[in-house]
Amino acid sequence: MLLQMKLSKILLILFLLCGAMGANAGVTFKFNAHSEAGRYKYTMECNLSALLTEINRAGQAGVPLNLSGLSSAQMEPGAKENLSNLWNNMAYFTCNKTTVISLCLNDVQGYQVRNIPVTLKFHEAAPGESNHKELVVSFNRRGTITGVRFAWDLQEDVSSMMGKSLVNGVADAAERRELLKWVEDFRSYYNEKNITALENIYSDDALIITGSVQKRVKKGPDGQNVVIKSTVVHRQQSKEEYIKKLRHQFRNRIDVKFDHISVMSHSSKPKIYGVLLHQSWTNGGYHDEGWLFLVWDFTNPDQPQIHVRTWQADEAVAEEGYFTLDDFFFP
Amino acid sequence: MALCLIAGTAAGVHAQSPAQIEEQMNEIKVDENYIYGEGFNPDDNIAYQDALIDLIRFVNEARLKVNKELLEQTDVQAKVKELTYKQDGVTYTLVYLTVAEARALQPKRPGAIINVPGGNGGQIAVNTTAPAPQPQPQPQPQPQPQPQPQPEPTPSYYGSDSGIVAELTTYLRHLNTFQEARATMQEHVKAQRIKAGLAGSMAEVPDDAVAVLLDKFLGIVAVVTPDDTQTRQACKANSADAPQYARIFWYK
Repeated sequence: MLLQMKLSKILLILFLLCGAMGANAGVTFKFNAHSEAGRYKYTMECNLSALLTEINRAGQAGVPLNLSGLSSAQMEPGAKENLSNLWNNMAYFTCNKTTVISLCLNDVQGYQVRNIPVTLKFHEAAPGESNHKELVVSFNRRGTITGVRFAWDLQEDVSSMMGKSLVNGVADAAERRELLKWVEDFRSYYNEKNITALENIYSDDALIITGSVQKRVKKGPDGQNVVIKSTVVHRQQSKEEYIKKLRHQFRNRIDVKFDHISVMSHSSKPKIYGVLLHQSWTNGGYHDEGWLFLVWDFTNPDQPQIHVRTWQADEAVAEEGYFTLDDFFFP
Repeated sequence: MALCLIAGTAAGVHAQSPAQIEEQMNEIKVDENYIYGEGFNPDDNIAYQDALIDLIRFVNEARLKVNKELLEQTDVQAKVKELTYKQDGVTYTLVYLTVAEARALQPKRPGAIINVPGGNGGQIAVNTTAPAPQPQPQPQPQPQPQPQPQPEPTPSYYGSDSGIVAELTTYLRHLNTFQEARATMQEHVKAQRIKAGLAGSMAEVPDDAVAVLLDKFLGIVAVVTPDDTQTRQACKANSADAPQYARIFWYK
């Protein structure tokens, strides 16, 4: 009887807190009927409602986010920092609905909520970039928000990636969803200009091969620049050199897009994945497109490590083919 | 609730406001008697496709848990109902079924798993739209020029050399990207079972070779056999009805 009263009191306090936070034209988030969200289901609904309400407030006003109203039990400090970086470096955004209902998805570390429609206001013009995106929010097993990012743009890619798990088993589905989360985070780190996260994700002895396309131009008869020769230059760098160069590049506007993802698992090393992405890279006045291949080690699920990062220009792939896990030796 | 939905649908979705349709969508989402998928995009077709993909993904994960065969888009598309509205330039689409209707769904064609050597290190699951050829135990008709270490035995799926081009063609027609076939093709080229090459246009492809037309992302646009003279001519003439491609991988 006493325990029941205590529980009721706790629930009432939580309910009132939720109500207070959502009082100002707030957003209400609820899980749908088929969600298996565990004992912290209501906590997650409350935390996400509070976050989306603040996002709408700041997005409509065009001001920086104020996440101080969310405690560290509601949203991890690292997640707050990353979201603020995304907000300040890339775009403000608002949630398109005042009631958002979504499925609770399981991954290795906790839960994910997808299908949150948002509209972006970019800080700088972003030609070719849609301002309608899907927000994804991650939680740990206790219902604390651990990450906020934009979803992978192409649903076909997501289905293709998740689809392979449907034959390899349910456990694989959770792993692939975890992998998708890390790939989406990886893309977000560039948009956030999050050097710390990029430093942490590459292993200290990572093999990093970058490439750049050097174009020789001359003036055509109409005064326009005409490319007369295009050369791809590859360079192997240590992690330290790569991060140092990234710091320099982050001084300018950077726009990284990934699409056409495919994932391959290693036959004898179950936690090793090869991830192939098509990358479009714009930094200042420079632009190139090519294929990024990453060898990703998920042995430590709290901090997966990238051991190999290679890049091939579009033209090279036709002749050489893509890199795969077979191209790398694992002891 | 069901009555409201039927009345709403009968009245014509276009007669209702976006807010009313969104309310109906929310009622479905919290009703355990329905399953749904949703999509949103400035393009109506993409919003619909994304919704369908979302629903099929959910259904298939549930079917996997009870060891049921997986479904494809064609199994589901005719059965779903749809709610949609446009607001601020974005189309929001919900496709849904009752749980009973979802349980009754059957795949029109069973899926298959094909053993492929090398490449992704083992089995690759292929969602086929037609039954894939089953492996046939047949001896290799020609000895290898040099002994080659194989991580797994080469499946006899590919049959004799005389049928190998035809079987590779069938295999490629089940794939979306050339990347999935790359390791297989490399093995056959190394073992001299086939000759292969890359071309920028159909004019450079030998007349007796199969031409795999690829887009910029090495997605497979079409697989054109030597007897498909109409497509080959269209590509050579660059006519309006020719498939669009960025490059060609050929083999024979």
